[in-house]
Amino acid sequence: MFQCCKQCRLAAASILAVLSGGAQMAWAHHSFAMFDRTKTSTIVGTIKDLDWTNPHCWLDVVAPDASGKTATWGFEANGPSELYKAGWRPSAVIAGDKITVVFHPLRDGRPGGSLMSVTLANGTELGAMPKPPPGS
Amino acid sequence: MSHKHRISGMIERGVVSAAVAVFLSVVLPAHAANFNPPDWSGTWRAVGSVGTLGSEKGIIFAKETRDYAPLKPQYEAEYDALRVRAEEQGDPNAKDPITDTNTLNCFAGMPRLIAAPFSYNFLITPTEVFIIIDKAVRQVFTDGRPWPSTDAQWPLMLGRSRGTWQGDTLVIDTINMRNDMWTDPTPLMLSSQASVEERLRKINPTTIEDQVTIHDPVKFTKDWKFVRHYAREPDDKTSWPDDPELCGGPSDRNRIVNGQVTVTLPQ
Repeated sequence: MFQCCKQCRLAAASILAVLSGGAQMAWAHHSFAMFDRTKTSTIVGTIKDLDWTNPHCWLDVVAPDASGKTATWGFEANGPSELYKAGWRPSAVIAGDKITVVFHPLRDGRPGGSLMSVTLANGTELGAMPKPPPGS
Repeated sequence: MSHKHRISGMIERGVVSAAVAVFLSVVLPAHAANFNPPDWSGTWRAVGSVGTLGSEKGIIFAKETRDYAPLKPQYEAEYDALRVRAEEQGDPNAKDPITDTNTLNCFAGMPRLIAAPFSYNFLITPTEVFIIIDKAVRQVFTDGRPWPSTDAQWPLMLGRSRGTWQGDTLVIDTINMRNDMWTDPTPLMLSSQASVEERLRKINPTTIEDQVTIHDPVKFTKDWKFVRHYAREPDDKTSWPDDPELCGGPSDRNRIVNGQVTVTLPQ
């Protein structure tokens, strides 16, 4: 299921992500200008795999694209250590499980985006950024 | 332990102590004997925004949010033009984007590494201070050595740094930085004559302050001064460092193609 999300809750989550760690996302080895940060979208699909790699992790999800045709989506996230601090555990992201992904879409319309947050099959919600250290 | 063994142990410790004393007096410079550095142990992180160098609250590409460099008018115009093109990097619809030098080199350089999204560790010795930031190691000589002769100076990613201790404040001077590297995620570049002074001191148990002055007689109307802070991460013996940032390898889906960063999606 693909939909352009306009819900206040997700918008608030997106704003919170920017405020809490977006500045660090601004320097994540490359610009994120290929993603439309003015749009926040959501898909529900099936996990294909989690690429737990440096410099960026990628979450691949099988879900319908905008035309309704099944596609493999790619979502770019931070590196392993940042995701780990944000609560991610590679063993908890299981291929074949249902997942909901909130993301900033690619500008070129291909099925992919910059990962903002996910909800796993067991209801666990995971953000894209670790919490800032105390005092910051 | 018997009396004999206690005496033996005392003798052994005495021999070791004497050997250490001889080592300190012979191997280390004289000033090392009085060396009493502050405790900057632990892992530290830059506070606030790393999207701008001069402000902890700045937002990348939002010029009004940054305490920006006092550029001379011609360099301000040049920067404004480059910034527009930089903002479009990676956008497949952009006509003439330029790409962050950190993306192209997978390395940030100085002075950008003053505020980076990586962990900071300080290794203080009597003659040098090593500041370890991701895969970069800033080697700051505190042994009083002179700058290299002019013909032995050329631009380096990290520049060349000397330091002096003024009480518990480490004063670092850095020269020989490259003039083609962005100083933050925007295309602000210094001239080859730029220099940086940092005054680092621990202002409380969990905060190191860095008072930064960038001097650029070519591009600036005056010195650019700002303050950054580093926050000490909580002691956590379950925490281990990750790899440094690695770009361009086979697992990197953001390949550089014709100088532009791209996204490779799964098949």
